[in-house]
Amino acid sequence: MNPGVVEEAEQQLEHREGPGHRLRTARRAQNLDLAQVAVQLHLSSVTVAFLEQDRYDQLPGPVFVRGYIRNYARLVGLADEPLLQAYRDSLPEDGVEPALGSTVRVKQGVGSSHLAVKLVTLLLIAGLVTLVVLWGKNRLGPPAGLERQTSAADPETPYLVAESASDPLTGQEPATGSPETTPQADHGVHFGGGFDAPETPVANLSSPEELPGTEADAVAAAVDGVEPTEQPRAEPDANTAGPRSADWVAPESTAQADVTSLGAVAEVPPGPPVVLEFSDRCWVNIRDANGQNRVLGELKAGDRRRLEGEPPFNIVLGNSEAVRILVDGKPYDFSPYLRGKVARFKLDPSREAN
Amino acid sequence: MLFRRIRGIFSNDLSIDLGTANTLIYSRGKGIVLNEPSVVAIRQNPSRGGAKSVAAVGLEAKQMLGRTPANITAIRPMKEGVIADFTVTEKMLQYFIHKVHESRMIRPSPRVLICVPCGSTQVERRAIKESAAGAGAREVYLIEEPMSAAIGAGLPVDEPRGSMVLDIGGGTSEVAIISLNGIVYANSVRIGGDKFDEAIINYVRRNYGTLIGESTAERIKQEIGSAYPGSEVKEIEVKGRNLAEGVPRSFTLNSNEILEAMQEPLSGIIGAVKIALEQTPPELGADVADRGIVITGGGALLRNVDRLLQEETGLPVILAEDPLTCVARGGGRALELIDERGGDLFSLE
Repeated sequence: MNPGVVEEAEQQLEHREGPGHRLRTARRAQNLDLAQVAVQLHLSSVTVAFLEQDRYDQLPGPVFVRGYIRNYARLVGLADEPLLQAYRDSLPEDGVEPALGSTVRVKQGVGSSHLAVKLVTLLLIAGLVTLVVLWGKNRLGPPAGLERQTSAADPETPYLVAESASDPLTGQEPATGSPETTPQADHGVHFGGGFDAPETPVANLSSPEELPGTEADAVAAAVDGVEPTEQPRAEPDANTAGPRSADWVAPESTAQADVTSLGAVAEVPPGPPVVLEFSDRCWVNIRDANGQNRVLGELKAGDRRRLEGEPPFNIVLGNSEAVRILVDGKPYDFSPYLRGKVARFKLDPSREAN
Repeated sequence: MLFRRIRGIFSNDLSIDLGTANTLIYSRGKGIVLNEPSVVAIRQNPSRGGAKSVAAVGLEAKQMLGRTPANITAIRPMKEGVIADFTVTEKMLQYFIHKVHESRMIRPSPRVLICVPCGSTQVERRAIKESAAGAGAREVYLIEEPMSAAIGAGLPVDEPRGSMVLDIGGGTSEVAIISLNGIVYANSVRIGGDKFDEAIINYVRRNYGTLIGESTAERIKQEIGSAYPGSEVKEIEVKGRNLAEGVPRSFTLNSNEILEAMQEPLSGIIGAVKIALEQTPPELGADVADRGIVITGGGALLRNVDRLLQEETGLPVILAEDPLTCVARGGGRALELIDERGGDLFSLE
């Protein structure tokens, strides 16, 4: 204990209403001197003097000061809570500790539980899901602008990128391959999108009863026989589909307008035609030289597909035994590429035809 | 694992003071979100082949203690700071974790920090860790109670100065000297609030020939219990079963009697503190003598316990503010510090 310091501290006491002042007043009222209080509190006289002067910067941390004030208040018979409140009020703003109890709020950095982090994470997840969906659509879906036609052409295999996309004969393909195609589907093929389609031709086109097998075969043969041409696709149809040309005139002209308006350019393979015939169920994935899916999905027995797009084609056949490939009308042997039942190979029709 | 992480985004980090008497949960950014007794009531259903189900947890279950019919058992799954019944502890933790996330649609999977007594064995720690993991925690950290209590009390644990903390819990009392974010010395004695209650029950049976229950003993302790003789003598009227007559009888106890009853457990705690002071390196001991000992835990609420310790050790003794929640709050702060400064800050497991 340094009596000099204590005396000096007592002399410098300011008359202000801090907790120290109240404690000092209470001590004096009980005729206790600083040393006696220090002994009873087991503190040094200097510490008690600093406490009475509210010089908290000279004392240990707030937890200790609160304890000293509480003990001192009890010693001199004062209620401790008002003094502690006065002490809290006297602390600088940044030194104030958060209120205790159930409403404690501790200032925290941005952690995983922060609202902003949660929101950003949610947005990221949502963005990721959207991207995956878009990617999937682009990968599995038909080329832009022709989606409507494809989906309407064969509702059972919506992800098939059939040649119907670019060939007006596709409208007939489902009729030959899948007779259960509905009239509405055909309607969608040719007249979806705001054109007023005449009713009768559609009925004629779509009714399976009115497309007997022979006629369908004839149509298919016509498809096979169609030579590559730069002309818009509606025109050769009108010429080749002989038996139904009367029915075709009106809708095809509108369909031509439709196709033109949609901006879809007819794709005609530059080489000899490649036709796939299926005798059983088979998974098929065919991409053209641009990497675009031309046929993707499972095809059934009796299905027949003519390849469009730029050769060479990358072909994957899941059940190769069920597929027959005709290049320029001649069977193509892909047995060297077989691995089990699966065949993976590249087919360039022009080379094969030569 | 991935789902746990995603669920973790929607969960708050929790600090759990899995105490013998009470379980407190501190949620980051929210404060103390749960403070309930560590009691579970188990119902046995004879119609379903004696299958057990949880009837109540926490306060509701505590009210059932000693008042249950044959098919319900109210138990305290924690004894002396460690798990006594693993399955029930897991159920209790599961209930509490869900309770603090009750408004969430996604099942919570929080990061959890649990405070364990420094005297607990590796087996006991593993049991606590697995119990929390079983209750749905994504990651489980363990921190020693005295460290957590010191942080919660606001002690400058990161300074190169000795800070002494005494945490009197329900099952154990922990005393430790901390400096530079580490424990220099720690000791745990299996004496706590439960032992005080037990001492009161024994005293009443010995001196009054009357049997009282745990809840009554706890009420006596809370209302008139004192660790140091004061100027005021308090009285309480209690009822118990007279052992000679076999019928309930009413009698009056005063605070001096309770002080006498609790002498034994109190001496155990003082002994632990004195041993800690003896074992403390002199520089740190000097720091403690200069600034004082800080008491936390529910036992700090016992009247005049600070005065008793002050008189016994001759050192300043300070009661932490809101001592009951110090450990849980300190755990929460430790979690924040881990995020801010890395996991090596404290010796976590």
